[in-house]
Amino acid sequence: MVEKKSSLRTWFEALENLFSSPDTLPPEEAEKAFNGSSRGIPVLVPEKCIGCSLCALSCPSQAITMVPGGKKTIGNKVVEVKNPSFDYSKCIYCGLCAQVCKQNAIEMRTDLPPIIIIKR
Amino acid sequence: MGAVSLPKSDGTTVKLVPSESIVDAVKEIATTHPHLVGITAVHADSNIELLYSFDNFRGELRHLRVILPDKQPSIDSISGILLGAYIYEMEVRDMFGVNFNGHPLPNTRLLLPDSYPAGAPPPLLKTVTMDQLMKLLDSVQELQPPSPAIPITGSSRYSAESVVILPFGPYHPALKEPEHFALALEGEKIVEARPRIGYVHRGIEKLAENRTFLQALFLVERVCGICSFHHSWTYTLAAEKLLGITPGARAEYLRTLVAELERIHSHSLWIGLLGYWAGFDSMFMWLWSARERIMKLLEMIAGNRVNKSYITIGGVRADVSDEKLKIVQREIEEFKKEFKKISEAVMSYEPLWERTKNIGSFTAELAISAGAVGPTLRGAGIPYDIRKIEPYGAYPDLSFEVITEKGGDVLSISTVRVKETFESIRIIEQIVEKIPSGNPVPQTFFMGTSKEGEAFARTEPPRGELYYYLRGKVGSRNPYRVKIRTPTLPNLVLAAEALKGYTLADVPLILTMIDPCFSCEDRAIVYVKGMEPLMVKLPRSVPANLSLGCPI
Repeated sequence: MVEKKSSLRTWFEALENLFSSPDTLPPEEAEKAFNGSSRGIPVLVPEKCIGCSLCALSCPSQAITMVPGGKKTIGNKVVEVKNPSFDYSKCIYCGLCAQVCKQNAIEMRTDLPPIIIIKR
Repeated sequence: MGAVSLPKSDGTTVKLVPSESIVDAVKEIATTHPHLVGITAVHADSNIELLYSFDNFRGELRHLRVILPDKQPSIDSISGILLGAYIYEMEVRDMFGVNFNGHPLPNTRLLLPDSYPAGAPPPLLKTVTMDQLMKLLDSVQELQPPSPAIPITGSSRYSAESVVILPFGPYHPALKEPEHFALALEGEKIVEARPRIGYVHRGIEKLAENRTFLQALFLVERVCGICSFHHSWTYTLAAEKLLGITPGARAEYLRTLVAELERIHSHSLWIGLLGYWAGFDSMFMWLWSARERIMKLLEMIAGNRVNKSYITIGGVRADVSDEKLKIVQREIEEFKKEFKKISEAVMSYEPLWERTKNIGSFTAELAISAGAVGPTLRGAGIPYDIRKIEPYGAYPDLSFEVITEKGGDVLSISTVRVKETFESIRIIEQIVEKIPSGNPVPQTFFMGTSKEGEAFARTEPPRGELYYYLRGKVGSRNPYRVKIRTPTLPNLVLAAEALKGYTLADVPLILTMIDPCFSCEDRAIVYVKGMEPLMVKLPRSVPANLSLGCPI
């Protein structure tokens, strides 16, 4: 692998680099918050949530707290349910809450603008 | 001591040794098993259990266990037999308060901040709660003067006229991560170097004890940014051994795929940095732009570039479709061409060659004694690769070579890393062809309780052998103890030794040789005041009909 480089090759490489496209992203691409592979932001679909707390128990960064979510009819009973509330400053956006949810009540959305955290 | 119950270890031999005869026992074991994997301390039942693990470079592990009382624990130091032991002993001393008699640096801290009160209980004892720990760290108002890393006064090993002690770091333009070296200089020559780490402590081992097995997985991933997947994989391997869970074959292949992509990105990052340290900035930019291809692949597979959060206990979190595997195959071919071109250009560049040959030279004997691992050890000609000697994941089915080079200097280690990148490319090509079908995602994510017992796991991240130890208590949702031994810790001992005899100008290059990842080593404690009051605001452009479930 280790061999002396000819000066011809140096010139060839210099020319090649001069005419090749840049490696950096164009600004309009770089400013996008999400691309096709991004996981997204967890957002609750309250109609589907049954308040089982599985998301809060599994959350690695303990960013989910269960808050009262009003009355809801489950089966033929009317019960008080709790809904998850996301602390987006603690969230690591791993998407585990959406994956453990049996009701698919948490959506990972990539159509939102990025969340901005402001220090008080 | 007979009343202490020892949990069964998994298939490897654990020998109980009385604390007085540890030096003799280590002397005996070191003749056949010279590689000290680590010293694991566990605080259980008012005892401190020390587990010394040894390897003979063929994967036949042997363990010695010593049980000490947790009141004033004291044991003889083994750093006279194996050089690398001194840094492990310092870690145990800082975290568990064990006193090592005959230690070369009796009063120096390695990981604990100098502001930590001297009389306070050591942080990793089970009797110290998280609240207590935070109060202890909060109560300190003023920083104490740091203890000297190289004892100058008292023992007066160096006369003051000839030797200058130069502090190098923790914040130094030549270091990208905070770490302090005390360098004893005679003229421009280094006669002694002592590392001091712990500036980016995050308390991960302690935090992991307060989380469930599944939650801790995401925590250990954050030990290191570059080998994040290997950390979560090693933890998962240990947890799967402890809990008796087996992942499917497709999951094993996908794990191996992500791990090898990570190795490629880490190695190309390092080779780029080597150019940067040696004053060859174009090389840095070429390699990092080539590496971007790999980062995009990782993002496509896992959804994240750095902390992939891709693995879970019992499998992986998402399948990779055939179309995506085709993209992996196509992109890796492109990368291969690009990397071949760059590495040939770089490795034939004479000034770089001259700059790295015979710099930071070390012998294989020194590397073994220091406990060096990974490309650093392989650069001295020892074929020690966990992927081969203790195969995990899909490695038993894949053919690859363990790259070694003779010499043991910056150049030989660089060559190892370049050749290893090509081997990783070969592994990925095989994975794409051979990957079996099936569902790699487990039916449910593990949220149950632990069994009684202990388990360890080792993997081969880009920097070398990574060792995790897990202890479980029956009925507990949390691991009882998580011990992490990162590859940079033993490699750092070697780098400190290799610095001797070289000039100050060689320091960045020799430190880069081991591919240091100082944040990896720092897992102890830091509590930052004033980070809690964070408020989240969604920008005004959020659609009005968007329901967020709760007021924020």
